[in-house]
Amino acid sequence: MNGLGEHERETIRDVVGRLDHDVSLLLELGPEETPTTVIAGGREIDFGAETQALLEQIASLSGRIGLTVTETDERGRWPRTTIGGRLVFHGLPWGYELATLVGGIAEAGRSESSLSQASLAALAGLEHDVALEVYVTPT
Amino acid sequence: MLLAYRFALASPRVTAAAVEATEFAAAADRHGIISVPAIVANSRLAWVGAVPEAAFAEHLLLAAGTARPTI
Repeated sequence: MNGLGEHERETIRDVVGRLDHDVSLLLELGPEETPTTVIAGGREIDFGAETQALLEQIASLSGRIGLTVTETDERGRWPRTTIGGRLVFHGLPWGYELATLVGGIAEAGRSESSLSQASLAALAGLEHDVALEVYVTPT
Repeated sequence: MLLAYRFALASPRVTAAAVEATEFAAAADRHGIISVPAIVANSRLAWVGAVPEAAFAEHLLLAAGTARPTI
């Protein structure tokens, strides 16, 4: 994976240029709990370094996005990106998942929910906590 | 995935995390995931596939034990 192309940069710049308020990005790096080797473009992908480079590029496109990077020695699901203190992405958001990351930033930067009134009413009736994990792939 | 994020932002009872299944294949295998998107709710595979917002809300309530299935 290389840097963002000009078209991607312009598309993302347009999205993050419409944030209603500031959005924090926290990138946590460390050794993966189950190291995986992925070869792309003839070289092994360093997921943490690629994610950091990607987030730095995205953060540079809007003064409303702040990026903090931390590193640990403990094994875990790294890299982990936390958007706005609430939304998490485990791994490198590449391919189609770049849109998920940017969409998450856009949602976190909205003043009002984009959900329907029916969904908001359903959520108000939740009696127990729900932890969702959505497994995705870049292709 | 964006729907999960939207629901999480709208309720303090909901948290949402995307997990890149290629990178975290062991975790995906633990849940028996063979296609994506696959949604795990409270550590259990809840449903597979993209669904409209209304269906997502229903699945979410079912996973939380708040609603009975209507289908």
